[in-house]
Amino acid sequence: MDLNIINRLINYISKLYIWPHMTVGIKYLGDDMDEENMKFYLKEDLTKYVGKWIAICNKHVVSSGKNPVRVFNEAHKKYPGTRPLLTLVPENSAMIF
Amino acid sequence: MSKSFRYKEMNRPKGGGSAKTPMLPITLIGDNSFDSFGLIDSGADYSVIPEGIAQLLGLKYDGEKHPTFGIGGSVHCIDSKMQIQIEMDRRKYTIIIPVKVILGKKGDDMPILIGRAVFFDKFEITFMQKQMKFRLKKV
Repeated sequence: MDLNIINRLINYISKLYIWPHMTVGIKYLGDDMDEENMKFYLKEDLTKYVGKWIAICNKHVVSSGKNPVRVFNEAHKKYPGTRPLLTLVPENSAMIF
Repeated sequence: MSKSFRYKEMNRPKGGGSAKTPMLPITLIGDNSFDSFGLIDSGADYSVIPEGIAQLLGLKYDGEKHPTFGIGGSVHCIDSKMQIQIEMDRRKYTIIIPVKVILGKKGDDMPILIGRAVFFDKFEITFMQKQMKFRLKKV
């Protein structure tokens, strides 16, 4: 069975039966977090993407834009089967929420 | 079990110095699962995500719309729950945290915020600003 379908099933069951806010015992059945992409994000100068969402696959920014759904879908189209890192490159002004 | 994480440094254009932020690597789990970074915000009561992220994860957010206030003003949100995973020394911790989904385009300009509710009960967080690091310890 496709791994994505299994994950969707687990996600659906957890919404139904797992008490909210508790640590769950079910592990996500996917690859480990891609540390190379994480390191790329932390080290790389991403000034030109400030204020935009970026998707990183294989240590490259593969799509960017203001809408996270479009950015994710574009990355998914370019690199099917890989799990992208999707994040916002925050604005340069001081962040106060 | 604890792990230290480096701050993310962002250079400001035109020689405006740099901003350093405590960004935590997380995996968001849902209909589409993906890695991301959450800004640890000890001043926020709840975690916050833009509507686009909720759509990608297939979160249920059809409850009552209500305003949420911050220094930046107020935004309309709907309460939901989100499943996240954190890796610490090859161990994975999966938790469900309450989130406020910011509706509309306004949320697209905001990073994923990890607020205190539930998350700060599960992890002890130490900020080491001078070393540009923060440490997470499983409680």
